[in-house]
Amino acid sequence: MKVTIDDVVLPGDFCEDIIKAGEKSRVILGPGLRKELEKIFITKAGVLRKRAPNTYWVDSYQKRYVPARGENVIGVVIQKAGDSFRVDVGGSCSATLSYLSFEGATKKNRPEVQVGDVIYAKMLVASKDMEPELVCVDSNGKKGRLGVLNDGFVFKCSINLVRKILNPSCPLLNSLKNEWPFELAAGMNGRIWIKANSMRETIAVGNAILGCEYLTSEEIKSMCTNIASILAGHVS
Amino acid sequence: MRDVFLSNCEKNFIQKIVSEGHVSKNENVYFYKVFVIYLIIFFFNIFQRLDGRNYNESRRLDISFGSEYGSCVVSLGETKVLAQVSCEVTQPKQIRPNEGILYINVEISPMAAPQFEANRQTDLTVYLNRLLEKCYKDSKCIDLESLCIVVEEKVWSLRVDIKILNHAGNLIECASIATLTSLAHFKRPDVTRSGDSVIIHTIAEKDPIPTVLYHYPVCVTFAIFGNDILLSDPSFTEESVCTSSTEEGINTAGGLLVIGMNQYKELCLLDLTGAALYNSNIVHKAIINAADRSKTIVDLVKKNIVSDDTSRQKRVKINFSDIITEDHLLSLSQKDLSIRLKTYNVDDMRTKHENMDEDEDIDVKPEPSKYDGNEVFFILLLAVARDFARVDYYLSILQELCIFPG
Repeated sequence: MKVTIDDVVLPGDFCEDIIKAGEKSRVILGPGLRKELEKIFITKAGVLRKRAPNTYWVDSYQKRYVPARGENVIGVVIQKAGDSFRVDVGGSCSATLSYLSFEGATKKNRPEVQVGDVIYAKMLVASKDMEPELVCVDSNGKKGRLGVLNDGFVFKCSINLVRKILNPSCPLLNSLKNEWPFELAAGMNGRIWIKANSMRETIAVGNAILGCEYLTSEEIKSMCTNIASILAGHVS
Repeated sequence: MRDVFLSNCEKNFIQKIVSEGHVSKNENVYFYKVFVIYLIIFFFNIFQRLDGRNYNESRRLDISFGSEYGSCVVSLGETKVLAQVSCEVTQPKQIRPNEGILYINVEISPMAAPQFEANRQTDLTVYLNRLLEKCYKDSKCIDLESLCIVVEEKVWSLRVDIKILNHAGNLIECASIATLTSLAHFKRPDVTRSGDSVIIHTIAEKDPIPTVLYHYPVCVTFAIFGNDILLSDPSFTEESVCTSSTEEGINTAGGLLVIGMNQYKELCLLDLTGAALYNSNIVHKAIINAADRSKTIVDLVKKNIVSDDTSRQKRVKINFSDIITEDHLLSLSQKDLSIRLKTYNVDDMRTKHENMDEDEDIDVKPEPSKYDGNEVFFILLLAVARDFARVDYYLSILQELCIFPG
């Protein structure tokens, strides 16, 4: 079926608007779109979106992660293999992380990473024919916020939820940070690591994040104050 | 099947939660309050889990029926199982010429969880299949002799197909409830014999016959932590933490205990995976819990079947479309969070917001309790000093005073 921007689309639909735009200038096809025989086909169920001037993608609810270059992800070390670690990031196959891609690591000075550790890393290589590769340093060789995450708790959620809380217009993190101190790392692969002073506070953070999935901005704000008052013991 | 990898921090966090609990009280309390709380925890196990449940609290159980007899979807929290019973006429087995046949077939597709592969048997599938066969075939709950049409020639063979729609922990309990419900709900076509010929009547011609069940067994699962803590209806993380082993390959004295029990509190099945138990009390405790739980489950199943029957007689259209919720993005989804504070309620947020448009100050602040921790402490001390056995009674007083709700 022929579809236009902002329609609900299904796999097999095609969009002629993108072809027309493509004749004038270059267009970028995001997830859920595919060019086949001079037509742009939809490959995912969702809503067709456009961002000016030339980016198109399908917005869908999804829990399964497809590695993409440059994304920050959270993974679990599952094996030490020779001079690299194998890291489970939730994709179709595990990713590799070299010993040398940590800050200050040399052949002699190996980083202290154990099997079962949680790692916050950046996708360096993600192509459909190769194993994804992770790094824990930026281009200047500094670790920044990447590396091993100690203590705390990791939970899984939908990929849309991670995008939602990382969106600058989402009030969740801003209103939560005023209530009580906590640390948080959100991986684009649908895993979130949280850590707070006590177990109960950690659970409260997780509760707030999972609770905000289907709420509007106003509702998120009132939820945050609600959780904070539960935490403080005003509401029992 | 790919392995599911559990990180150390998840493992530690869950184990810490299970052994210490997070209490629904202000943490910034004075010593005596802490003391009171610990006393209560010690005696009454009001610890909470990651999703805000108590140790012996189960997730919400929902049963819905499809348009055909013997098809149902059972959801236990976010775990969902579809069951369908079908029947056909076959030749009986040589050793049991006058008995019908019951097959149970479990399927797990990648829809349930990403670690499963399509069309491939895993250990879990075989284990589930075997467990359900043990529970429903070996306990002889179905009258197989009534399924006989002609001795040594024709019998009904019932086939239960179990399809796992979503795996969020405690598959065994959910699948067993689905099996039981679909078997109890199923009706086979009526048959008349005239001489050598056998006529199978359609539903329009003659009323179909329900399956005869002598008793209703269900499997109830418990997660055992550290050989003395018992969690009923474990979630996926709790299941994987309690059966996980440490780096040295030693199991941390945990495991999953499956208890099959019918509504008369008769034990039908006992199965333990994980570490060996040296504490026999825990099995006893689990059986007592399972007796209550199986009774409530069977009551719910029976109630649902009766209400389904009456609405079918009134010719109400019944199908799975009823379980699609309009107020949620995903069909079949419930609003339970996997990480939750006990007193947090998802519905509260919505309704509160909607009401706000009409009435600004609708949210009434709960009245602060007149009895602070001081008095609680003394009442409890009194209780402890006077009689251990009556602590229960004193706690009920405290509950009436609204200090420890729930």
